[in-house]
Amino acid sequence: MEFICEVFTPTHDASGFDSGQAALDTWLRQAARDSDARNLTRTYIWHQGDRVVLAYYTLMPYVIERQTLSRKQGRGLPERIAGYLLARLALHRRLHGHGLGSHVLASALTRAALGARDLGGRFVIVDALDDNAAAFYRHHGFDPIPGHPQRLILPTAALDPYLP
Amino acid sequence: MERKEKVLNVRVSDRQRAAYERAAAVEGTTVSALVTTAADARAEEILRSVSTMTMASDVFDELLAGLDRPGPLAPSLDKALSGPRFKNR
Repeated sequence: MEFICEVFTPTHDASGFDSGQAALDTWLRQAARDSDARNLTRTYIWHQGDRVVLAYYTLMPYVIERQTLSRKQGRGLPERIAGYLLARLALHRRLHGHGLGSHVLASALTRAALGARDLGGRFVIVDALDDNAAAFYRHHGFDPIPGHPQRLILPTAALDPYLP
Repeated sequence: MERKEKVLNVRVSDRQRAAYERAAAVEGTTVSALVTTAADARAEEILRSVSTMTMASDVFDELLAGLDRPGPLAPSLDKALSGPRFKNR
């Protein structure tokens, strides 16, 4: 069973999408298209040829800045690093329990790595919503950021060998 | 100058209205300008916080070093990327 992944458009049916987390479902149905239309984010969906959404993820540009106490202190050092935030990732309940979360994540990371290859971007960062989510990302090699245990990061360079 | 052609109706209490009117008078501005200036600043702060994070200089340096020397991927991710169940279009 192979899934098609493509940019979320009005031709896709998200009306029955049920991930078990209402906030993620509502966001897809009510906010994703507007956010994408403004180029703040880009949302991709999975379907099986019938355009019914079975999984989705949302990526957006992200910047990590160095906190500097004075202008002098930071002279000559990089002040900011650009990358991508994996803002949302959810699977329909029907897909739960089949190990497909790893594949949806792989799909998202491939997009980010291609973006990085073409336009730059050194990391993918995620905000884990709960301990289960944090464990999921740690299992897939994301490292927690010191002082921000629910925020995890993966270098895009690690994905280069897997790009087509 | 930004064109302002849209109308935003906002419900407030008597207390809020009186406070905004007093504050606007003190500043020599309008209630509308007082409210939109405050909302602009808050909106910018929120929008900035979703696309940016700031970290202490030492944590930043540690992170940067990690990005320069990425290790091999976790086996679970390696497996998913090596035998994908999806076709990215």
